[in-house]
Amino acid sequence: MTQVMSNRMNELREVVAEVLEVEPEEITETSHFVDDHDADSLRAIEILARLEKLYKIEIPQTELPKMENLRAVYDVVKQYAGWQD
Amino acid sequence: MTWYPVVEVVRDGERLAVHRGPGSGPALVLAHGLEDSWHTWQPFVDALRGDLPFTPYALDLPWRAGAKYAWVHHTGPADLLRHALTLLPEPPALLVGHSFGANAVLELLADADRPRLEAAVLLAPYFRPPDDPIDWRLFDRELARFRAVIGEGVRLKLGDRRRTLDEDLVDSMVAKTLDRVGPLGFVALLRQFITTTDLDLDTVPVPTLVVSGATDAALAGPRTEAFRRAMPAATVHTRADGGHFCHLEQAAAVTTEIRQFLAALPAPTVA
Repeated sequence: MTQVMSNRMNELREVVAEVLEVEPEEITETSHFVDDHDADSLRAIEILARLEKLYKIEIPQTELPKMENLRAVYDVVKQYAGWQD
Repeated sequence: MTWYPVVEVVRDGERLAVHRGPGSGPALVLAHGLEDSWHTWQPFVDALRGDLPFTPYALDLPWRAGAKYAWVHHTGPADLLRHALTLLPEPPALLVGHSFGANAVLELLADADRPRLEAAVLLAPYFRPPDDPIDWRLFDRELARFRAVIGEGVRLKLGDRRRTLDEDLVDSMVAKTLDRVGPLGFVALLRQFITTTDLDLDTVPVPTLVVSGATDAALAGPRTEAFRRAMPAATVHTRADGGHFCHLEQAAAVTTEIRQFLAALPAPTVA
């Protein structure tokens, strides 16, 4: 993982941790938001809305079911933000 | 003792589940509203309990938050609710519904093949009076109401967290939620609303308490009186300062009304 990727992953981790009200280090790339962190559909929507605002992008809500862990969130944001890493 | 899952099935591609809460006594069964969750009932049940003997069962229905609403193409909320009731480990004594869930209960009550119940409680149901024509004004009005209620629900569910969020972020969350529900969710609600006029509500023998809020367009104004005329078995309480979610925002007052209603039933078992 490049430094840029690592920085972006950590930024996403901070956002997710704030929404799920857990410590950032509790969220691994593959820990499941619902099964491991008690997320519900409203928290998932809040994550989506915060990411849109932070990166000034628009992510269709149809991507929500995919965004079940940090790695998947990274991949979705990368696609819509046009990250090249 | 906490809530725990009793049963979960998939019927025609739709997931139905039952969760049991703490308590013992006759079965009190709860049907949530559209884009809501079975979890919504936990504080309500805590407020209702007191010394009432009942076993709470919260249904998890295919109009939960995040639902796909594919069932709209081949079935309706009353059939789904009827099937969910067959999953219970004991017969329901009292059936409680909120909003879309309340209207699913209402449809079941109006059916000649209704379940045997001691009583029903409808929280914030909606009703179309016979003189309210099905035209584009109705469509626009109900779509606006639908959008407003979804927004009210999102804000309510955020609870104390709402104070920490920018209002534009909350607006964005509401917009995302409406996107996710999509037209099918609205179609389900619109069809249910329109057909309330045609239900055989005057044949319902089950004592039914209806609690609605005066600021909730679902059953406000002339709809209240029209509903009273249509359903003589219903006792309608309109809370002057209540909205669509008054059973959560004013849980103590609403559950007191329910307890008084149950206590006044002839030979009640849930009272």
